[in-house]
Amino acid sequence: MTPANAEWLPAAIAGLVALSLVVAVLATAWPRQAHRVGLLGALAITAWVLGLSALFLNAGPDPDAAATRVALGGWEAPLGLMLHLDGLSMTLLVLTAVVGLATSLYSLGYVHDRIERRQFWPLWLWLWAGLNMLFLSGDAFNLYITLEVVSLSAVALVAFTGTAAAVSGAVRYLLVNILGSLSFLMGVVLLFGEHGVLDLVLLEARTEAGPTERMAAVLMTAGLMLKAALFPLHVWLAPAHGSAPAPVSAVLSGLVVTGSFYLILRLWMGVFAPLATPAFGILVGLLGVAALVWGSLQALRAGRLKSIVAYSTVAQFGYLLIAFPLMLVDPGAWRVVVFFAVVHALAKASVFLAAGTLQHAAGHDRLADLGDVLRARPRTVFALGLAGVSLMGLPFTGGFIAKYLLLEAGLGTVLAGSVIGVLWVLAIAGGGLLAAAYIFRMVAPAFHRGHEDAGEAVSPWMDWVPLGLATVAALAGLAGTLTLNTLALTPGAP
Amino acid sequence: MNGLAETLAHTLAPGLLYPTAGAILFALGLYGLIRRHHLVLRILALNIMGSGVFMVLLGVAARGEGPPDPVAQALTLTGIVVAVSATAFALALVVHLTRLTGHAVMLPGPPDDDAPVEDISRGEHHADGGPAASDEDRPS
Repeated sequence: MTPANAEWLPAAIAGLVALSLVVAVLATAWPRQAHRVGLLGALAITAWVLGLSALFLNAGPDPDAAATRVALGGWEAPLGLMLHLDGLSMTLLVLTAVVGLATSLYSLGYVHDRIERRQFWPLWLWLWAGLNMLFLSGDAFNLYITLEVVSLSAVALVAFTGTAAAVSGAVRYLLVNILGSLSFLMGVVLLFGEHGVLDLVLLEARTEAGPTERMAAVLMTAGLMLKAALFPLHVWLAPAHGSAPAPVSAVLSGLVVTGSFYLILRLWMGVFAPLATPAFGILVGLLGVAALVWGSLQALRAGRLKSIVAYSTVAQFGYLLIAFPLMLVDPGAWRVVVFFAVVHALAKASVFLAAGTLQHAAGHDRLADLGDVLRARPRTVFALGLAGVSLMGLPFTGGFIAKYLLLEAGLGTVLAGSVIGVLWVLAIAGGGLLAAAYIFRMVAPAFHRGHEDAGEAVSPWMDWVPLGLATVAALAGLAGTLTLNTLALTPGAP
Repeated sequence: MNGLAETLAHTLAPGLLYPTAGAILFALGLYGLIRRHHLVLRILALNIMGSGVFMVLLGVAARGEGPPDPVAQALTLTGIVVAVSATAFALALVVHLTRLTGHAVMLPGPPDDDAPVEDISRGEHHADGGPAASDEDRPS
């Protein structure tokens, strides 16, 4: 560890929060130039995050030491708010930066109305700042605040087209989100009442498996499951994600749900770790199987391109639930789960962006009438297919590596003598088949013979960005070792 | 009877009374949120749930000897600020929805498979002069 790097790291962490907030404030205060501020800000934030990750990997804490913690304003926990950077947060920050940059570039082409540009960019930059703060926050109450920043800006983004369907979807999304936040906050309050601290590291040291912790675990997990649209609390997702503008859907399905999932994972790996029992794990795993089957069937039934993609988010998040029983048998499996979530976010965002391009060209996204446009736009269809292949988990893509590792963990469960492990293995393998079925439904018309009609002209950003992001998703498999090694730098985790 | 009075007095101590009442408010709000369909009532129900959370927090702060814990009071204040902004935003959305549809209730479930989709990337979205003006600074 070089001392210079170790000194720079806390400043770089606090700087990232400051930078993303400054960009958001600038875009809000200067709406006429919001898109220029937004583009420069997106580039700056991405560069900063990449620099931070380089610093972190070079000077980062060795796995046994404490994570990099920054006391804001010199106030240490328990009174002060701590920023907390470890391998898990670093991975998700990089993911957010990649998807965020792609979405920003895509939006240059997508949101071109002057009025809407003024509304879109500030909201999107606030959402990004909220996500960065969520991943860096190490304090339970501060996490509640960042969750609210993320939800409120996400709701506004769903609503900003101003049509009745969009506003109604936004109201539903808002009620669900406030309910989830309040449930989370009630859990935080109970933990605070029991232990008198809010800092996650201090809380972790003090918790034991008592009734208050159980109650708090139920409330916080239920609230976050509601926000992450984990089965059976998923019903709000398809209307909100399916009817939002394309870049918004990409961010919601790629990043916002992943953010809530990150928090569930972080809590159960730390504060609630003593509460996890095998029976609980099996219950969560069964919910995951149900999500996988239900979401896939809905995706096979849906008639609109974006509805298919939205239901596929419900299905793919089933894998994350199935991972919980695996993690109880093999605690190291959590890294595979995060890698899977990262690959899913990249692929899902590019599928949504590609779907947005097709919808723009055709003027609708009814699958039955999309054939002409699909045939005439091979580049977008290729992006859709490439990201789809990653979602299915075919070889050489990031999705393949993720599913292979997940299957390996599942087989490990079976070998460890758990009968129900067979169900997890079957679900992981069968889920890939179902994914293949609904992805082929989306791209199949492109291979039929027939009329070609490119539809309305599409800006080059909308043409190329989905392809670029899909390539990143496919190539993420090559970064598998790097990701898993970064994740290994999370102290306290197995 | 003496035992009952003692239990009652013990329950009425602020350290227990507030959390219990807060939990009841939380449950009542949840019930209202699920049962009511008018959106203003649903927002009110969420606010009742929020008050429940804050009462638990204040009760927790008053537990034990000595003056109440100021951290909990600071958290409550922050929480109230968040709740007020979220409520204002929700009410604004509801007002807008009511102007559009004439009713303060949510549209039914997931959108129809044939429902028209708003696409802001297309020129004809803003018939009132948006598209022509925006072409000049569209990146190419």
